Amino acid sequence: MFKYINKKLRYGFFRLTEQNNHPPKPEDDSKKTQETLISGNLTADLEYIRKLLGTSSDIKMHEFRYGEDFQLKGALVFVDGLVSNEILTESIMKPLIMNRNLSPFQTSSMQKTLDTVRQTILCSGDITEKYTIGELVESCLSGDTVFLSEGFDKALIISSKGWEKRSITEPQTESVVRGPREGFTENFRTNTALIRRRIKSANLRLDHMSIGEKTDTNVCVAYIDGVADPNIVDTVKARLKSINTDAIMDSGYIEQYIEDHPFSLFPTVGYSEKPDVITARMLEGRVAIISDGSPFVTTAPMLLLESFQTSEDYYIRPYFASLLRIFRYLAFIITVSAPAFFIALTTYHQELIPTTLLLTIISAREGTPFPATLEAIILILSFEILREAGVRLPRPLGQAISIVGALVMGEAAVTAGLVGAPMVITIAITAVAEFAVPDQSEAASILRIIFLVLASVLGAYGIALGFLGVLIHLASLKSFGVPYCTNLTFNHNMQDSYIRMPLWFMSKRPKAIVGQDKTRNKTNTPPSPLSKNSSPEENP
Amino acid sequence: MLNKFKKFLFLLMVFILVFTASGCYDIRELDSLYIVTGMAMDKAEQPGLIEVSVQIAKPGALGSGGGGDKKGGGGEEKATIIIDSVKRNVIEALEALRHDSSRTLFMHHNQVLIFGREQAEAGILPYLDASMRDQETRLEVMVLVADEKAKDVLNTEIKAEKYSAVGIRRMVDNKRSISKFFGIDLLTLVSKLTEETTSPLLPIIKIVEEEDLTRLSLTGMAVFKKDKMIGKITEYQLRGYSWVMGELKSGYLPVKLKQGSSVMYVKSSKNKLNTIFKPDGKPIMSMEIEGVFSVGELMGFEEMDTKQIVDELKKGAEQAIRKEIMSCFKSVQSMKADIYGFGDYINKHHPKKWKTLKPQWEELFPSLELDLKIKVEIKDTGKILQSPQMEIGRLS
Repeated sequence: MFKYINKKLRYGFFRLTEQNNHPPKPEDDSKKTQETLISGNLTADLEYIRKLLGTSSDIKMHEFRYGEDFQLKGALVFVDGLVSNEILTESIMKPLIMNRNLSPFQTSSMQKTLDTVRQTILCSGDITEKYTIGELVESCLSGDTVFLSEGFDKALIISSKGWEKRSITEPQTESVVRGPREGFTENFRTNTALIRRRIKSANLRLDHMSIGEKTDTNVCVAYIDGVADPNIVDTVKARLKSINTDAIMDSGYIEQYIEDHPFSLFPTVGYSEKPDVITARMLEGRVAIISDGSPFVTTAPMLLLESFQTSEDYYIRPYFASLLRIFRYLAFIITVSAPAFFIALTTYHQELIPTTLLLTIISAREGTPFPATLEAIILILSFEILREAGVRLPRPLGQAISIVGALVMGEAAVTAGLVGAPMVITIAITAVAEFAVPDQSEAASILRIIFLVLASVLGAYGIALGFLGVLIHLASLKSFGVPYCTNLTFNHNMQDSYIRMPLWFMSKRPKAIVGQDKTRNKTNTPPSPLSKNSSPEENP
Repeated sequence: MLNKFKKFLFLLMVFILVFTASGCYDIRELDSLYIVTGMAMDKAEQPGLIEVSVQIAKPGALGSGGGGDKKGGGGEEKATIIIDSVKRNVIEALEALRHDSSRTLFMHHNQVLIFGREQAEAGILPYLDASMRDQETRLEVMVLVADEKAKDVLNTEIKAEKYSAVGIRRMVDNKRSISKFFGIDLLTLVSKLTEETTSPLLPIIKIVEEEDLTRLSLTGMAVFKKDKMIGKITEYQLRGYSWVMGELKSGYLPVKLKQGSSVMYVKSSKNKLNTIFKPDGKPIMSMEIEGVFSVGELMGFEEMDTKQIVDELKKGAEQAIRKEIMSCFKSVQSMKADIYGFGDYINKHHPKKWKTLKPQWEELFPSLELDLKIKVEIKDTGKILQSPQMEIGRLS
């Protein structure tokens, strides 16, 4: 049924896009200009660049003389703000101008002079040669400094990126009691470095590509060779390549372009703000996608179970971690169905409520003006509005809003007899439970309303119908070829599923995701003080 | 393509219709219900009619929550309403009540079904059908017999309980620690009634008028013959009944001896029933009763050591049990009511003999003999072995 609707929607969507699709535009002129070679005539080249980049004030073209008796004419092109002033003056300008050994006679052999400049004068570890104006402009815009010189038909690209960036801070979304507190930043290199720092294996691959016609965002596909399934890596890369958009503002864009089921309520691509989470997922065989400008790193494939795992599950001992995980499953069920159950019980199946409880509920509901369903919808709505307002407002104001929400709306509404206290309690539990499983909170918020409507129309049958539908839908989902619910079924290795087994027992990586390297640890025995003494003898 | 789109639309319509057309047909908002907590049936003054009274939890007067505008204050309002109607049939009466009130009667949570004494003596079977048949009523509803008029029982308040019907049910549950036969639900009653020779028992609830308050009390059991009440047995006699049924699992047994007195707790009991036939074909019911006790209290017994005391207590307990059993047995024999289901037992174990016994069972039962073998075991004596009284006696 869902598949059918999905198909229908897809079809409609396809038709829409087909109609809007104009015939492909002819190759525009900019493409041609970008392939123009550097002429070697400094003024002409600079003029050309100026034409390309327009009148932006932050693009600096600094012409100067250097070499013996300042006989050589050169120019530096860079974007102010993107380059580090320190690198620019100390490693590029100063050496170039101060060096007097560069004799003008060597200009006859241009390549030699350029090599000398590159090898003996400039103090930078990352210098490349470029031939076209297009490449030159591109690297200039990404923060490099371009060195042009009269008579050279090449440009030197000197890495000098150094813009203001946020330092590594504790992420606000996934705070932990125990565990690493660093989080990714908006800076691409910092993020790759954070991963590299955690996995010192030679097999870590950080494959680069850039997406977005206008933004040209750096995107990096990170995985561990051997651990990740090559098929999944290829799929991820292929999907990234097929993204046809002009802008990537956040990893959320990428997530929406590469997910398997764009019409599903459930996310099929995961994300995290914490390097330890991302590396742990990579060690399970997942592929991480780092995108420039976003502190959130996406991972694929995502399984349903992932929403119920937290990094802290593995940092604390297994017993409490397992209990917490079970609570998280419960919380998800509660947040999805608690209002629905309350409505079903109080409007259809009063006989299922214990007598004294029923009498208490009745006494609380007596005199409230709205039907129970409307009451629930009003409360859910006001909660969602409160939450949204609280998130968007500056922090000090946000607290004021929550006080108004909690006291005025909750308490006053009950004392005024507008809503019943049991309903407020139910919605409150629902709201709190939602945050126990943050990954699924979007799906849960919508499902809750669907379940509520089902329950108010069909009672407990409606809830059963809803659960059945959701289960069927979940079972039909796939993320990058991996069934969404796979490690909740018993043909999968269950060491880390409903409960978390001790670390030493989790010897296998998740069967459905992993590539060749399937084992985490080989021994699979509990640690004991004795083995410390005996191990050197056993493994000479 | 268009066809497929039509199909999709059709599906959508089906969905919408399923939800709009079928939904909500049995929706019941809580504030449109009268929760019935108790039901009483009395014989009406006019012959052939029945007076059905129901106790309803009064929504406005409940608890502290909700839109209670007059909270606290002095005058405690009654939390229940009693409404009644006199009609030929039960459902007829209930429907009349339904139509006369602002809300629908909600029978699911009915706790007790109380028959007035007069009605119990006239026969209750015709009026059980409605409660059995109706989807809303439960078979777990407790059935009781009022000592006088059932409606008055429902009308009597129980201290500390808001709804007297709920209170009555809790009283019954409490009394079950003495004997589980205090709580007879509708299903058990009807299954007893279907056994040919067995007489059902129902607990009697009585209004006790004291100086400053009237309260309810469960006193003994009503003995039925078929569906008509013919007499009663006391609580003491009920224990005798429970011993025979092997159902006395808790409670206490007072033992009085020459040397002193004691109260012993029943820990468990068993009964192995058997039938022995005399040469003339008359049956004797033989029983092997095993009771396990612990000492709850000792008084007296000075100058005796523990072993002697235990021996004496065993003898005393045996006699006390025998007395309880015989008291009950004699009493029901005189009523010719086979409350134990001996007839049914013989039917099940000796069906051939039962065929000859069945016609004369009415006459046989009053002269039936019991062969009692009682075994008493005292498992522990509590925290102390001998009472302080005895220790002091020894020292002086």
